Amino acid sequence: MTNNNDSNRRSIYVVFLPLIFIGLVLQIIRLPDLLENNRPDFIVLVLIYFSVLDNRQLSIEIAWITGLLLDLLSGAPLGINAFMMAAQVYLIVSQFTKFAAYRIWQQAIIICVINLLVNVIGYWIGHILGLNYSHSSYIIPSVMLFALWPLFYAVSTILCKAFLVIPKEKE
Amino acid sequence: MNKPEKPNLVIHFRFALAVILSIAVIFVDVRTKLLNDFRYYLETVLYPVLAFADSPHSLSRLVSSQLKSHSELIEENEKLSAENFLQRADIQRLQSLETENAALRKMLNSPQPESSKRLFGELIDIDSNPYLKRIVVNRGKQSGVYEGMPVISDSGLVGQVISVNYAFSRVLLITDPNCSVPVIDNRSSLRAIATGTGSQDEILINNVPRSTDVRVGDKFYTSGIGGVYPEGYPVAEVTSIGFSETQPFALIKAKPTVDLDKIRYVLMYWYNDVSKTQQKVVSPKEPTDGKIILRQKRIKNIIETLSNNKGTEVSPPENADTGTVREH
Repeated sequence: MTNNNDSNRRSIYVVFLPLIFIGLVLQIIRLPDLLENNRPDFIVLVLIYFSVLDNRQLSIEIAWITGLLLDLLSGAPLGINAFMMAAQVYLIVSQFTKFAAYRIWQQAIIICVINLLVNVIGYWIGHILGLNYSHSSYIIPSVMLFALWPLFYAVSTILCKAFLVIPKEKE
Repeated sequence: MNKPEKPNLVIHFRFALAVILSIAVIFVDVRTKLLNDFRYYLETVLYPVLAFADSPHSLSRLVSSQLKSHSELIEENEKLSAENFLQRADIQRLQSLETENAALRKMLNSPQPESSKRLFGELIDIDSNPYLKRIVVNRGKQSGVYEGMPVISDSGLVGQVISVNYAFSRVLLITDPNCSVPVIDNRSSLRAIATGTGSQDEILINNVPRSTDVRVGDKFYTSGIGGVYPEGYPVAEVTSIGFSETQPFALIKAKPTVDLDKIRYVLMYWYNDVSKTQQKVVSPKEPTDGKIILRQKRIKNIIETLSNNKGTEVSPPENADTGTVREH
């Protein structure tokens, strides 16, 4: 089901690029103190949603570049977030080939666990580079992703339908 | 979705490529300076995103300032004018003290600390990593900010600039674990080094023997040693002193005088570093040491010709003016 049967279907990037922008802003925006130290990776949700929606595209590369932008915005050493984003998308796309067929809560669990795993790796890399000192709280942000995924899924599905990215008959 | 199993191998390959690229970029960025220019330009381009991310905050500030009632404004105005009056009176005294101090220093032939230029900066972002205590300030190379520049606020030392872009710069706060400040105890004149802990309201005074004369409530000021921070700005106040038999040194904890959680405005401080001051000391005795003066003059000329803005009386270090060259 590619371009031949739905000529009225728009490019996925009509919705994807603005959401990436919003995700990046959410990553650096100032939040209340309680959330500030436990900021969930909003951008991961965007990347995973769209990499699952069409996984033959350049999902890993896009995730990598988005991570690089996040590095630049947050002042982290270049490449750390790039690696983390690419790794999360890679794990979803390669290990869960039927990800889209799962229930929402199952997807949320997978995202939560993968985010936790990659965060631990990222923390470890940061430690090697001498960046992290105090004890980290990387569990709470991942659990928050679990809660955010159904919400995000609903919103972006509505958006995709509104902008004719997903053909109506598919659902 | 009905995807064939075939692209799996390609995905592994693509991910391996991304990993190799990440490692290479991390290594190049952390260990070498090759990517600094690249970073400089990209971060400058991304400045609107930072400004946009701050917009809810600045909007709420705007709204709250617009919604102040008339009586509140009058009250505030009265308070401020009273404060202004008192401070004017103080400044008069300060000026006479400054001239007196300069005269005394001249007699002793010791370097005269120049009154330095300062620039008002506004906080636009804080780096969201909880382990790094850094903030982003809306002043960059455009305004003459340079790397290593001290940053102060009305109640004491804030930190120093660690990276500069065209329109904004990042400031390492004194509470960052990577930041150490040479300090001096105001009461006992003990010299020490204050290091951040990563927690917002605690810094440690390192390597002070247990027998030293430090008490709770002592104030530590910058000592000016090291040439990065100007002398005499309050840094922290001692909150607790712990003595442990197993440790050779006392465990001194202090609280920064600036409430780093709440700062909104800072002052960028052009500080004439040690080399320049030393030159000032030497110059009356050896006026023939013209080489350095000539070089300084030439740099100054270059800056004056290249930058048409007002920051010319302050000569930033050479890397700053190469930046200006690039911009034009």
